[in-house]
Amino acid sequence: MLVTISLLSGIVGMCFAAAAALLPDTGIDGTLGSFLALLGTIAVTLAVGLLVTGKVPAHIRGVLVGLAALFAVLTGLAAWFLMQAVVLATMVVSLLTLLISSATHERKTST
Amino acid sequence: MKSIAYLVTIALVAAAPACADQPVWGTFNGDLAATKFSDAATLTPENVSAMERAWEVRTGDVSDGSGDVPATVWSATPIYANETLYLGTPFYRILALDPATGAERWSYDTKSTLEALTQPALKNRGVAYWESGTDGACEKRVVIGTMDAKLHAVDADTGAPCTDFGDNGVLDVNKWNETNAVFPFSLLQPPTVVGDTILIGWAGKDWAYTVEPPGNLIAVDARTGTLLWDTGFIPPELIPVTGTANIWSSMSADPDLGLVYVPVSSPSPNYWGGNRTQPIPLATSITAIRIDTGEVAWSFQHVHHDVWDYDTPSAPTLVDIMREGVSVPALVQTTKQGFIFVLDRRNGEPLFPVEERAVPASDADGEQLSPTQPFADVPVPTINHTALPEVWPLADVLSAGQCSRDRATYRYEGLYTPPSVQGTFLWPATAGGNNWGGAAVNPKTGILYVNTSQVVQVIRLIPRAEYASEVQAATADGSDASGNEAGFYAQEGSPYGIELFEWRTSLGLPCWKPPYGTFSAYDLNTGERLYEVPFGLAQQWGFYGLRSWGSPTLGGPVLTSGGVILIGASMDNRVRALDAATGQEVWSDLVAAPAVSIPAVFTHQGADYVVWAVGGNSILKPQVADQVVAYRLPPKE
Repeated sequence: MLVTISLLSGIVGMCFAAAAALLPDTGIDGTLGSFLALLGTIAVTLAVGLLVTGKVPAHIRGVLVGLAALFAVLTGLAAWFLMQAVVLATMVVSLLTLLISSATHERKTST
Repeated sequence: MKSIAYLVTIALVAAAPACADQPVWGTFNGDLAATKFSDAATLTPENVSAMERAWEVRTGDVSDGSGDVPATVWSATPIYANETLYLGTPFYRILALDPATGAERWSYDTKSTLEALTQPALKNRGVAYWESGTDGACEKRVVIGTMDAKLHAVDADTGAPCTDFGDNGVLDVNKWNETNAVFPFSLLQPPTVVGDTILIGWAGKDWAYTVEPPGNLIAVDARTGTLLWDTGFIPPELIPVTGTANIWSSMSADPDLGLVYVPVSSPSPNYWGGNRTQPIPLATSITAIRIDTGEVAWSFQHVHHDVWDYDTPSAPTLVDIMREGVSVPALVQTTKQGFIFVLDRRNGEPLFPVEERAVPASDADGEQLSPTQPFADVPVPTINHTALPEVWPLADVLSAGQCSRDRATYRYEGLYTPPSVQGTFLWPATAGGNNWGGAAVNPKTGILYVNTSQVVQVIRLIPRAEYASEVQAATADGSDASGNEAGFYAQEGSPYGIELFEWRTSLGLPCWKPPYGTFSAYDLNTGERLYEVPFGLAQQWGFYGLRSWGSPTLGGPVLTSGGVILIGASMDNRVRALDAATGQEVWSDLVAAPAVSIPAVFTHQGADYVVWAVGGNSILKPQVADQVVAYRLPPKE
């Protein structure tokens, strides 16, 4: 459930990042920073999407969570400096839900 | 007789600093005193946050330079007169808009060539307005200049050419460009209209030549375009070897004193003066000229033998201030160097001390600098040029020490360190400090408000024998003779070309510590600085800088009688309202590009409007637009 929220949040973030990069008069449209943020949201969404499928081997799962978290942090940071509050918020939600989900998953696995 | 009385009344209302409660925004700076003060009383720091867009118009006159048409730079101040809003565009069209809705009433196309003849881009700062006070066709006129030196006059009600002006409504100003005519007189800044006289300055091509047209002020009759007088600023005996000292910016005037105050630029070439070692007293000066005769009444040179391109950049601001208990008619000049010179506008005498101080010597061939330059410590300069800003540690680390190495390589011994072959830090940068946006002033209190850029550049003289090969090595295909794109400029006819660039890392980060832009207020009665705060947000690759860094600015502020500053000017595509008492931001809105312009603030049908032309300028960042956007408080239910 939580990882699904993480995925949805990533998708929303991706849409807003795309709008900021591609629509006119956003203040950052067409800039390198806006495309980096868009790439970041895509990376987060893809990584979390793979986790949602449940077909990721156990030994890769940790790496994928780590990468998704790193992308979310970097993209959130970029969104902060791009003044894209919605993208920042989605990355925070995506990160937190991913980490909680991951911790819960670890606990279940270990018990 | 009625007409004369009307004109006198208009002139007094428009020009007298004590009466700056003009009902119109009739000139580039709001009024002839260049106060940029509006009596729009409903806008206050308490309610301005509710200000909303009334309308928006896209003119279609824009180019990013990627096609056949050169890029555009648009810094027009809309003119509100005749219950109409008039704008000039960078395609040299006039638009007449309904101030309440933005609906187009008429447009006029000069059909000017869209070639960047003297500037890197197509450029326009708006139109001028004249009215006779009587009814009839062309008794109210809108005037626009073009880059190819044509001045067009059209009827303010219909947009039809005024056929009694020049040749069927078009005056070819270039017919007076008779000496060293290596470029046309580009009419980018709207002329100044005082009574029935149109005062024309012009822009040329900076940094390109040694011998250029000598700068002058041209006065023509507003009805016919007939030449009234022509006052030059280069001594006749030096005209064969130098040029410019022109007026490319706006002017102010005091009809009571019969004087127009003109900001005169530097002579050519801009960064070496071995060809012009004799004094040129009117260059880089504030000069008062008698409106009726063209005679120079007085002049105050604020840079002797200018080799920094520290042109006088803006219209002097006229305001009456209190000195030792007496009201004095003053003139305030903000400068690229960051000095604020406060003079008695009757005679040019400084009202605060101005001291000649020794400045560094030059090692360039043939150069003979002035051993001293004028310094004014009060009011405190807008730029701290006692020392170069410190190296920014973040940029230094990210550039593996490039900034520190640059600091050790290039020369800086304080303000007026001359250009050199080894490279010299230009601090303040060639765009200032303070530029054409100038200052706003409250004529009732004598408080001055000004935005300032804090940018460091490097200027390097390149010996002529090495110039071509350096340009070829630096430019992409080696074919760009002027090398402008790569920061090279020829100064043809002098022993040196130049390279001019901002002091940045290879990643584009500024090497100097922020702030990059500030906003300040000064009490002109005492010279005291009331506050200085960072202003705007810098932007690189889309990323915004921190609030404490501020932004370089181009464009100027407007003050309302309700105590609100309205200003665009920053890199971050925002227009803002500040609390004039503190400089703190109380409202902002995102627009299509940097609003490098001065807004018009006026009252129309009982409502106060703020209108910006949003056009961008590559000096700040490579983004252009064609947006006109109007704001007002929400109508009361």
